[in-house]
Amino acid sequence: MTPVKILISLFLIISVCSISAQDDLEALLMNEMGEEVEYEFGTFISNNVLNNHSTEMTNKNGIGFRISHKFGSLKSGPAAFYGFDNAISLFEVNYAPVDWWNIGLGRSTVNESMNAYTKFRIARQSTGAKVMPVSVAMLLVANCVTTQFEDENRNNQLAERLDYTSQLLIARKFGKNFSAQLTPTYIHRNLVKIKADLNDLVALGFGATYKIKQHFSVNAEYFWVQKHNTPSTEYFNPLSVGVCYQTSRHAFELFVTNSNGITETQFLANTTNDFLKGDVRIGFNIATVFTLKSKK
Amino acid sequence: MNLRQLFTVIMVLLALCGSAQKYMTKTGYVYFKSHTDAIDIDGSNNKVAAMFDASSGEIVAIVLIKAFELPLATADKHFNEVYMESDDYPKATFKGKFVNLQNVDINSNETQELDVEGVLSLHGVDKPFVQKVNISNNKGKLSGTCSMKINIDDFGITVPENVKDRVAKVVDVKVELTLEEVKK
Repeated sequence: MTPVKILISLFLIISVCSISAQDDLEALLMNEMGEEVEYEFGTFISNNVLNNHSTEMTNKNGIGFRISHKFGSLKSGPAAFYGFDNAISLFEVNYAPVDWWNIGLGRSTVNESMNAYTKFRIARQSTGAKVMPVSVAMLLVANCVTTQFEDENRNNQLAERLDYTSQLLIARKFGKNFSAQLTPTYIHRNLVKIKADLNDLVALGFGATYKIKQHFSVNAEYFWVQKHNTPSTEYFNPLSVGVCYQTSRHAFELFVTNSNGITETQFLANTTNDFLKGDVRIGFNIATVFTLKSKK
Repeated sequence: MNLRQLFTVIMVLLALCGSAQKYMTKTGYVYFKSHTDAIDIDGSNNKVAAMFDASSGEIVAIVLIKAFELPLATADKHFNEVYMESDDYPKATFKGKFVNLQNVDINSNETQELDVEGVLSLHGVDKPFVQKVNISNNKGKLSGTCSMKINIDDFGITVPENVKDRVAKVVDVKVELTLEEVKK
């Protein structure tokens, strides 16, 4: 091969090079970009399925308020205006210092209790460069009953008033409209009313939501709770069915439920009504969120 | 032709080849603001990918919709689900060409105005698009900035009746890209 021939072939190679460099710029860019992580949005409409927490969280710098109400049993009939006269309620405020961490404080009229919770995200459902099939969050609630001690002369301690709920919230959004949540739960109550009851309980929750149209979904929630009936009281598994509606800032949930508690320990361990016998009540939640403007 | 001459010619050819250089970024910035009397809603995205071919003047930019961050609570959810429908339309792209590239020196560090025309595809709708862009070269990095107004009606983005007064029909958009030469 003479140098001239080498030169000609090199010239050809280089021109081919520069022609292929004119290739579809978009394809080239896509190639450079690689795959991105795509996170799932809106697994549930609000931070709650109905009674219980969902994997949704208040975003960074957000302050959330939640008002939860439950009326008395519909069975109470016209005398108590179908439960209207015996409402219980919970006021709660939560704050998100970062996207993956919420802290909350609440006050419930049931047993005049105060509760504090922390909820943090462990995993977020995603596709693309990082595939994660489920969203996972951890919820830890401490609840303190503040009613007067039954016997003031006894050696009463603060610890007697406390109970705790720990939950792993595992949710998956299947397609655009349907999401389901599995909620393994552990409850510890420092003090129970009678010896026959259990201090430690396990429970497993099932929650689901189906979006009927934009901002409007049907939700259901059921908990299997470890049997802890006492000779005097029979406890039931809480079941709730309702709808959820969202406006630009508020989320409303309206539902029927057999649970007569409002914080986790109360509605999981203290539900004394049988859904199947129609011993249900109407409940609703209103949740709203404000943003403390970020620096940016 | 001796070997030295051959070497020189090859170097010249390679240099010529190199002048068909491309510039790109994966960290371009885009900001939007919807202003109404009721509320300002804004969001930003600093993961814009763009590539520019200096020889042909072609430019492509890709914006991943889900990468927008909206500081207002719950706004990101609405942005993705209601307006941009990012599950169905995960990205916005712009494919175009600088019209009068030969009139400017892209190696100059002075700000120069250029027209770019092409197709903007957003929310599944393709629209012809002409835009003025300011470019400048800072030590081999090509910067391009532009501000535009996007009429969301043009791209089939509808606003639910009950929030009509909270979402602007015409959204201000700002784009800032700093492209670096692609090393072969």
